[in-house]
Amino acid sequence: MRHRLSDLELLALRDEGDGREPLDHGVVAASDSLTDLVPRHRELVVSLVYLIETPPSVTIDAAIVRSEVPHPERLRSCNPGGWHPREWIELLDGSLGPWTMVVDDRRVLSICHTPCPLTARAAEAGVWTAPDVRGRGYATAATVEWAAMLRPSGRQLFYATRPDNHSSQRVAQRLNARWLGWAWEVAAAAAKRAGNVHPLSRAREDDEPLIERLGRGDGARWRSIRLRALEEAPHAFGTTFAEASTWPPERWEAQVLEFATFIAVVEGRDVGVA
Amino acid sequence: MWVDPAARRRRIAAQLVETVATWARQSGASALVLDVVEDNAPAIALYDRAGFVRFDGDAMGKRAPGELRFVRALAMMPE
Repeated sequence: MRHRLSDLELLALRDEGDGREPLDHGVVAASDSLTDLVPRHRELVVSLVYLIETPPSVTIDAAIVRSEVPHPERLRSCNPGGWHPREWIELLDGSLGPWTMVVDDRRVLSICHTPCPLTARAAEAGVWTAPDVRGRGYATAATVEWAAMLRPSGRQLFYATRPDNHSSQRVAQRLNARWLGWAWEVAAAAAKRAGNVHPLSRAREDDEPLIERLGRGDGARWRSIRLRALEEAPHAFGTTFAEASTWPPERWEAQVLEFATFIAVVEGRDVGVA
Repeated sequence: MWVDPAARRRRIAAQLVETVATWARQSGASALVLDVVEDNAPAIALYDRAGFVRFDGDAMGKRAPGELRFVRALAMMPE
C-alpha cells in the first residue's frame, strides 16, 4: 500500500519541482545507493508527484459515469480485471472513495479512482485504462471528471506516477498538472503485500474467500458441497438429498464438466457454490 | 447457489454472483436468469442487491410452481 500524500509528506519531497515535466530520470539512479538503507522486506518506491490545478476540458467519444450519481447496476459485471471481486463491489458502492469511469456499451474503458483514503485537505487520483484503447484521452477525461467532482471540496488534488510509466506521465501533461517533485517512500515489499488490496477495503487476508471454478476431477468435491447444501436447505433446490445421494460418481463428474460451477474457499474449506 | 451458514454475512454469495456474471459476460451471454423459491427471503434480497429484477412469465422456459424468476442484463448500457 502506498502512503497517502499528506501535506507533511509533501514537505519531505526530495527535490523541489519547477512545474515542468522532468526531462530525465537521473535522480532515480540515486535510489540505488539509498536501497542499502532500506530494511529487509521493505522497498523504496519512487513516484513523480503532480498537482492538478487547471485541468482542460476534454471531449471523448464515450460516456462518463461518476460515483456520486446512480450508476448502472450492470457495471457490477464489468470488472475489467485487477480488482478483487469484493473490492469491485465496494468500489461501485462508494466504500473505496470517489471514482469516475469511461464506459462504452460493453465495458469499462478507463477508471479514475481514489487509491488512498481522502484526507481533509488532499485527494490523490489513481488511473487505469484498458490497454487496447490507450492514447484516446480516456484517462485524461476520467481524471478531469474526477477533479471536477472533488474540486468543490477545496482539497488539493494530486496525481502520482512511477518514473517508468510514460503513458501515465503523458496523462499528467494533458491534465496541465504541475510537477511538484519526487516522492520517496519506504513501502512493504511487493511480495509481502496481499495482492493489490485497496487500503479502504474491508478485505482481510485470513478470511478472504478464494473463488475457483471446478473442473475435471472435481466431481467428488461438487458432490460434497451439493449434498451439504441439499441437507441444510432441503426446499431451496430442484432435487433432494435422498435422491442426489444415490447418484454415481460419474454423474457428478459429468455435471462439473457440463456446467460452470464456482466454489468459494475460505481457509482451505469449500463454503459456497454457484 | 448456496453458502455454508457458518460463512454467511461475509459477502461470499455476492462475490459468487459477480464471478458468475463476469464469466457469463465473457462467454457472450447478454443476461443472467435464475429461479428462486418464493419464500427464500434472504436469497431474494441478495439477488435484489446484486441488480436482478423480477421477471414474470415463462418466456425463458417454464418456471416450477412456487418459484420466482429474476433476470439481470449483462450488457452495460440499455439497448
